[in-house]
Amino acid sequence: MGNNTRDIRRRIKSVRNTAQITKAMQMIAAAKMRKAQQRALDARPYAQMLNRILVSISKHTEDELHPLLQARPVKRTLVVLVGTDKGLCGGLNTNLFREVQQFDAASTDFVAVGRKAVDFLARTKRSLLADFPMRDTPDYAEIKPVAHFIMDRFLADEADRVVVLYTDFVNTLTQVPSAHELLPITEFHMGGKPVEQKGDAAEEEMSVFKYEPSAGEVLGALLPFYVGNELYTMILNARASEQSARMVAMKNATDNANTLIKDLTLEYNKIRQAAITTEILEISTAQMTMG
Amino acid sequence: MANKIHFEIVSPSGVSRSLDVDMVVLPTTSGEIGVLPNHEPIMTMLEPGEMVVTADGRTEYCAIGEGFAQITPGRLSILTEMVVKVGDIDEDSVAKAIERAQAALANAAHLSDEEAASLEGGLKRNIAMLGVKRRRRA
Repeated sequence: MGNNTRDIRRRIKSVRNTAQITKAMQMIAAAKMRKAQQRALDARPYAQMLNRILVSISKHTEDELHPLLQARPVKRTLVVLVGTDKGLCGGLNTNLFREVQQFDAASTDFVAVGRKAVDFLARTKRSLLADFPMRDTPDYAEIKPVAHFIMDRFLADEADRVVVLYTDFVNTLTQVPSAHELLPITEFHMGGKPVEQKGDAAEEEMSVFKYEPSAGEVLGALLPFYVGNELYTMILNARASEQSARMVAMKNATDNANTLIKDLTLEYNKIRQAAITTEILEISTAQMTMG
Repeated sequence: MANKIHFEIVSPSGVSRSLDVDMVVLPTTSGEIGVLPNHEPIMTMLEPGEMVVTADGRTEYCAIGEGFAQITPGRLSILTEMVVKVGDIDEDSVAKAIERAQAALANAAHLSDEEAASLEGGLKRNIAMLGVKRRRRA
């Protein structure tokens, strides 16, 4: 009997420890998610202004399309796969990596962000060109090398299409794996969503601008900023998704651990009480025979 | 009183400055320009250099990275990835960063074009920062 209760006590203790850890991870994930969301929010005015300028300039430069805007027959596709560094975030990576199957192995190259993405691509023997390590809430400077890398590949004709595969953040409970075509730029987006068209008033206001040195050159210089910012927004989105998925996963783990503790405690008390009852029974039986 | 221009700096980390000013001097790719209220509408490119902001008789100096400026008669919006106030520039660390970048560029053979380009960009920004700091030390 004594052995049994000791075992249960030990199990309760270890489950309680686990619950404590998962609870802590849950709270950390919550804080990190807020941080990533805040970053994405902070970047909005920048993205909005960039878009406003781009949409209007592109209407004023008819001469020749900038190379980044030119669609061409797709022979090779480059996919930027935005995974996570750590696990324990539910089915997030599994769901995302399932989407990789839609890309033909022979004509697709990959760029990985996050260690899980690297592992996955290595395991499935895909062509991995580069991987970029990234912190939990990356700042803009960390994204720039990735943006430059993909633009260089595109401009050098080594990729005819660049797709970003990431987990879009809908809300804390819902994250959707989504593939967004970043290059060529056929339509201006903001964080993977089409820009809502502005009214004529804004259009009028923009059309009076004089461009220095020229509209074409300003556009050429703006596009890399646009690509960088799009990528930045999407990666922040993926990070917010990761953290919220982890938060939910850890919350479930904590709840499960607490249920387990409850069950174990109940069982422990039952055994304890049974033991006491037997003991009393023994004593009273002994007394009766004595008496 | 109407003779002010609304000035804002927008960067990926948020709107870092938004205020009414008297004059701003900007380093554009085609030379420095001074922007006063009622300026003609212009959209121009900025290169790393010094930006001078005058508001209420006080003058502020900032180092600024590549970016864009959108000017309308009543509004000046700057889109950039970097802007640092002169007081926040740490001369020693910037000088060291420049040295490091130059050393890395010197044996550029083992660098990819990509790395070299990003180093050069960073170098230009750092040199701009240092230039601003030294000029305004007096």
